[in-house]
Amino acid sequence: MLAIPAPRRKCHAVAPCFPARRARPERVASDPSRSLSSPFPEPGRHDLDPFPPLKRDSVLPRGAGRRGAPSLAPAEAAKVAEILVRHADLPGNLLPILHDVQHALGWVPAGAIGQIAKAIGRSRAEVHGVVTFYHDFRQEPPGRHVLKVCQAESCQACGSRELTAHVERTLGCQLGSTSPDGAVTVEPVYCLGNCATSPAVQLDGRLHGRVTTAKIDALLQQARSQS
Amino acid sequence: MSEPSSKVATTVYVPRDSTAISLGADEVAAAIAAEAQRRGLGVRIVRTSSRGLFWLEPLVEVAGAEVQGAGGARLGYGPVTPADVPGLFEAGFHRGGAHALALGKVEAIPFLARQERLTFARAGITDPVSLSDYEAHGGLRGLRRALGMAPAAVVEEVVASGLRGRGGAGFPTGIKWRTVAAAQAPRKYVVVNADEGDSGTYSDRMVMEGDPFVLLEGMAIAGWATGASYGYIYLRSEYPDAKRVLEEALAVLRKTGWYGTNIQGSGFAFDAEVRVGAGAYICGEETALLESLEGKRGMIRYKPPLPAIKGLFGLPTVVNNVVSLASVPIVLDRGGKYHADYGMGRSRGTLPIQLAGNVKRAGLVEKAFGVTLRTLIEDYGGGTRSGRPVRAVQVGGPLGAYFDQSLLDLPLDYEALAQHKGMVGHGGIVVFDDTVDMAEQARYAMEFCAVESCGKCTPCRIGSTRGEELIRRIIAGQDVAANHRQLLALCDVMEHASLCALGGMAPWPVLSALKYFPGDFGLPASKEPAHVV
Repeated sequence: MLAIPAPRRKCHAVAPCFPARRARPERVASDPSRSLSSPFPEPGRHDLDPFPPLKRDSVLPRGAGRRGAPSLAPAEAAKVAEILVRHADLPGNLLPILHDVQHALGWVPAGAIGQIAKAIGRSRAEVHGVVTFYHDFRQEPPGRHVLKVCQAESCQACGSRELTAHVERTLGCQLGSTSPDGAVTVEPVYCLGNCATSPAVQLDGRLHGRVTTAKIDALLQQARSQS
Repeated sequence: MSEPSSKVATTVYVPRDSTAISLGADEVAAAIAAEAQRRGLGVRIVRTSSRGLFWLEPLVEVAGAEVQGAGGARLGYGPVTPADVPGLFEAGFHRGGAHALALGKVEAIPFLARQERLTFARAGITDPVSLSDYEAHGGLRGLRRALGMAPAAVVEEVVASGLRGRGGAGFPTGIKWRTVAAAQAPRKYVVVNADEGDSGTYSDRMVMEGDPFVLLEGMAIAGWATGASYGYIYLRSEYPDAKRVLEEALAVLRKTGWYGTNIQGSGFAFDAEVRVGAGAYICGEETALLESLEGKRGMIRYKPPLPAIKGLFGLPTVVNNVVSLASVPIVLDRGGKYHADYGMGRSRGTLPIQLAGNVKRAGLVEKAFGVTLRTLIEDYGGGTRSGRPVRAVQVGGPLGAYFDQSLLDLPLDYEALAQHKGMVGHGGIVVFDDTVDMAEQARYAMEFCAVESCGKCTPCRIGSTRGEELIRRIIAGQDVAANHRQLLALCDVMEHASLCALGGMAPWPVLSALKYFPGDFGLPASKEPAHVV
């Protein structure tokens, strides 16, 4: 159809450029003659997903702290293993896995990357690349509370710059870091969809609108008193 | 979420939309329940979606046989705080009593009465996850009719409606479907782009939180029309409430046989799931979104091949915005012509416009294309919230141009805005008052592009960082003329050599700020340079 050759991308559609640890069945997705038994991506069926199902013993870390990454505590590794098994059959499962790991541990420790990579049959570099690409995934443990302050235009029009400066002053830390007492991590966020009642913040997953300096002080004080 | 009571006389509606919740709607609902119980009154509380009149949130509505002077319509009270609740009961609000917060009939509020609500017809009226509510208000009629038609006829109906993608690019939805329908493959997908990252936009969120069935119905129609059997809703992680509502709605549809292996005995199989993004603006670009769904970095792909031919997991994929798909059921229900009769020129149908930023009456305005920015900001919006004069308006998100007062009479229409190097985008309008520093806004536009660039192409990856530096130097007054020249040249490169709209359009807010507000950069108000159209 088109003379321009497709750019070579590092993905499982082409020959792997790294030693494969697991057998990779050939991808058959684009063969129109092949019929599928189910219209939906089925658990346990990997017609379109290049990786065969996993067993629990194959998802626990083999060696601790290989290649410099600090190893996870056994309890944490077990949590990660449980998540890996739960999502083993999901096509394109890396983001759901990382979300669940962050939910369980509060962040995505470097020590978990090898374990995840091994389980989903991708290189550690690829998994590291995904973790670092997305703003949501933390590579350091957060404070006891996470405050996201919207930095986008609608909130700017309603004083988010002043609000951000106030938060940074109050907590004694910059956006993207944790207050010295370890209580609150402040993160920038680019739009919370609460633009009709800007400026907006999200504290521990809960959205707040028309936030003033007095309101944020009260919210932070309330959060601190809980922990 | 109703309070069972032996003697229910009045229904009280409290929104569960996340903006309303961010202003305390949950606390208000709890206070109403507690106060009603304390007074021994039979009051049923229904958690609805929001009408989109956000300056009145939390907006509490009452209806029932005992409500005086409503004639069956809902009476509104707002904005209500938990502290107002005892006073409201004292005034007899549950019987339509007079109170300082009383707004009269909600549907007679001018902001709402003067709209043309097609896609948002049910907003604020129904319980988002009640299928019987949905059906009672016209839901599922589109899918029923579609399943009785040949798939190709469904595609042609959508083509005839003139519906164009509401996500920003404005590509005709029907044409996209035709391409996917013609592709031969063992499986096809419907992917919903719910990565609504533009600042000043919230219409996707309102659909998903307030009327999830209309989106899911639109997806099933798209599946039937194109031969796709599975859908993914790629939802941004900033919308946790939307995820909960969508999953509740999906469960209801599966239980009632509207999703699954044999939809209503038609033999048509369709199911879907929600996938959550991870805070990358670029994943709103359709190919980056597909990469992300496949579990990779959200790097954009070269096109062709189009996702319609080779999309998710290498298979033909319909990628549509939330509002585009939510507009489909009414097209099938009433016919393509009904939809096409709204609008102007090549922009057919209605556009959900979102008023945001420094505006007095911020909220959702669904109108046929062609309404002017001035009407929207002054008549609907009521000017700025701060009471100061409007100085600048950004239309279409962080990549949209900034307009000054002189352009407010432009009609909102894909082509009219394109002539002035602007875009409708996702229909968000952010209003700034006269305290705004446009040089700082221009600097931010480049900074945002640098933060969110996927890094695939050089003009965007490097250009955004260099652009931010140049603007910083101009602001600091360093060698202004030379840096200005270089900035224009850089914008030209980014605009024409970037792979996708992020790098290609990040210069638009910068160039428009330079053009309309040169004084903010310390530049003389001169004739516009050749680079600026």
